[in-house]
Amino acid sequence: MANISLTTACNRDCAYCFAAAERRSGAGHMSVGTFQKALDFLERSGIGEARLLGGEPTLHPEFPRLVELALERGLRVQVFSNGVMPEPALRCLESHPAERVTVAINTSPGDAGQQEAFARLGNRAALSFNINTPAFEPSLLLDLIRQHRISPRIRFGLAHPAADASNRFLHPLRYQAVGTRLARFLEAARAAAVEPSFDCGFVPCMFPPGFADALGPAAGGIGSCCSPILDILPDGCVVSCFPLALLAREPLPEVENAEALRGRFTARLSGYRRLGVFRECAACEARQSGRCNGGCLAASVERLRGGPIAS
Amino acid sequence: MASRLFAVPVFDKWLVYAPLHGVAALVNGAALQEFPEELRTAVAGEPEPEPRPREGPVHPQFLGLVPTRACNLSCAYCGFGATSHGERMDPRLAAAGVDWMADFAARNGRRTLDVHFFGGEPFAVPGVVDVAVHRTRAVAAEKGLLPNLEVATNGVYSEARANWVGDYFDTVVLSFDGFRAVQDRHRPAAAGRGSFDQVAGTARVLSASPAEVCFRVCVARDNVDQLAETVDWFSEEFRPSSIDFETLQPTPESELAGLNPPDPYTFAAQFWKARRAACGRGVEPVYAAAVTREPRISFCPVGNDTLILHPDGRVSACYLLEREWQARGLDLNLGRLGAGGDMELPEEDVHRVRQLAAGKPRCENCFCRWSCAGGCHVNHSFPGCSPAYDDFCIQTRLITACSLLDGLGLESMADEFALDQAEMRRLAVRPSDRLEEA
Amino acid sequence: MSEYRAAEHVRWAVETGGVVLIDCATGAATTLGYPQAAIWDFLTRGEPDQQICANLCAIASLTPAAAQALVLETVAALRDAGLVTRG
Repeated sequence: MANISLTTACNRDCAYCFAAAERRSGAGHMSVGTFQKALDFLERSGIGEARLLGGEPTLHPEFPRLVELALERGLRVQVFSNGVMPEPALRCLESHPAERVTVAINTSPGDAGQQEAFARLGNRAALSFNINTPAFEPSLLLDLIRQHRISPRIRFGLAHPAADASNRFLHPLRYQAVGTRLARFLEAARAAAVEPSFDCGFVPCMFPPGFADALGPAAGGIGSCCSPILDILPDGCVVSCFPLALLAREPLPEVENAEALRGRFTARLSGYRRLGVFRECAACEARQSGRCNGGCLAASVERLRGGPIAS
Repeated sequence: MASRLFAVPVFDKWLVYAPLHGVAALVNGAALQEFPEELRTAVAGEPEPEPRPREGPVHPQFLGLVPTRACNLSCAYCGFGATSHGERMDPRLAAAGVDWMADFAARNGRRTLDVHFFGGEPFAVPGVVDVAVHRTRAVAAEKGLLPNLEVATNGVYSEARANWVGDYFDTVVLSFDGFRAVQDRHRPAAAGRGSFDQVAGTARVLSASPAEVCFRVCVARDNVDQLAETVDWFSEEFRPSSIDFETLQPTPESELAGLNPPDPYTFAAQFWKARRAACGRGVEPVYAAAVTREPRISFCPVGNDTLILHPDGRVSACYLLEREWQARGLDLNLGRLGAGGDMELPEEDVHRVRQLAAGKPRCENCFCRWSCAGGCHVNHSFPGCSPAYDDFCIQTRLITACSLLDGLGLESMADEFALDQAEMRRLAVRPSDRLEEA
Repeated sequence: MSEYRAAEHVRWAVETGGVVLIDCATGAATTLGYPQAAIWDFLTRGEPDQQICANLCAIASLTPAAAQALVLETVAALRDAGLVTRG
């Protein structure tokens, strides 16, 4: 997997945005040439899906063209959007079947601006929900799925620190409160045949006992998902992920594939992997047995003292 | 059975509460007379035994350390001040106390080694805290225990020290009374300087640290109307996991400063409003006397076998000044920690202090008797205290009633009740809450 | 001893049983348990020699001579590993 950030432009200013540091860099829009190189990289790496994000990717002035370029190469396209998109972008997305194009809409329940995207994209759209406070309210998500007949899937994410920690991220000490609330909601979601998935950084200890067993295969990502994602930035650099952009960043290779790049980033970050998000992680049985990798590395690195760190 | 049941009026209904059965219900007057079968069935089972004073060997939950009574603030309501109580605990004594607690924890199959720091301001003698903290961590590692370190602090120190506190402590109870004007009026530094900037800076550092942060707010008449706004601001600006509200305890110093306790009805109403604000932000609001989780005979250290080690080697059950207990005719000393690290806790002294937790006549007929349990044994439920409900009793009864309604899913009723002075007074002043007298 | 400080490329985090040091230049991680973790804390905060030794006596139940020897040994090992430099 690898993500392509088409632009730093965004029509929202979410307090928790973990791309905040990159957005502030003002890099702007990815050139078509750089995008083609990114697609070359995906093909070279045997990656069959172009994951497009931003900022708000649909704000790229050439967005429809970029989508077509990816589709022409036989790639599937997944767009990560806030759902508030220009008409040409929306028309482009709704013109392709769900087998080729899907849209993960980062949902703010009650946000009227997303309604049109939900209505027109139908089952191409799935919900994405970023949690940055333990007082989050997920109950409206099921209503949205029912109302707009969008795909019965919800991708949950935790708000991790941006590279310069300037965003409002979820502190690890709040994980358990989040896990308890999420576990309660997921009982209702299961009853409604809605399938959850978990983005990086969720850890087993944040959930009530028995949660992972009850959830079955859907709990697969919990505890294990923190590895170099590879975010390709508008300026043609590639970083391990947005939150770790200062620690692992290189120009997009011309020849190497994702495996080689991931290996280098993994080696570079290996020392930091000794940390976990909690002080107790080193002594934790789940960590020692490999069931948990210690949570988000960017959140773990927040505990380091001795000054700012950079590669 | 009737003696275990309480009933208090809420509008045209009755809140029936059986604390030893863990049951609460809202019923109408007629039902109260008939006593619904379902409720009777629920309370017919074996209740929790009535909490009784502890017996047997001392079983402390944590070791308290008072490294010094010195302080770098001159809080308007506190008697410690910046110039007196300069005694400093010998670090070796602190280490001996930690060792004793570690041995106790290991012998009794505990998972954690719990050490809490009080003052004055513990960081007025940072070297003692440094040693005690590292000793705790070292001994815990040696014995396979998890160190659990907590400190009550005023937060007035450098950013480097604040970072250290956040790194090495598991829980930090930070005294922070609210907005600048309140904080600087309540808690000035020596020579009348304000403490707000430093404390807010420390709060920010701690909010980013691995420690759980609890803000402890002293509520007086001048800030009682700002509680909800204070909670909003605290939650937005910092990351407290809980905010603990305590009403001002009048002292000669507070009277000189013109600070007064809040009206209990106003406090109850404002606390309830602030509670809603806090819960909406994922922050736990706490009024310790109204916690109804499980029946207890005391929620203060006295009666819970707490061991507080003082700079002179005395071990007591209370972290308040000895002269404050003595003014109430109390002796809360439990023993001494000897030079060789041996803890001397004469049985008769332990028994005497434990018995203080029993026999509180004022609490006998109050529905909060097993939750509030009389509050502080020095400032509230001391031998010879007035049998009439005081402000602390009133606000505790009101907040407890609201909490019970909330727990029944009757949030709107709880909110309405907290806004209705007449209803609150009707409940607050009832001389007996026993069911048979309802 | 107290003239030593954490090397420029070293960062550290307090853990339950000690402290973990990360050499950001090489990616290597080193864990210090007790009492060495306490020595690291005092060193990085610039505590004077005498204070470090006195503290260590109380923390690790050592004689002054044993405490001094331990500090010297620990600092030497950290220096040889490139984790501390003269400040």
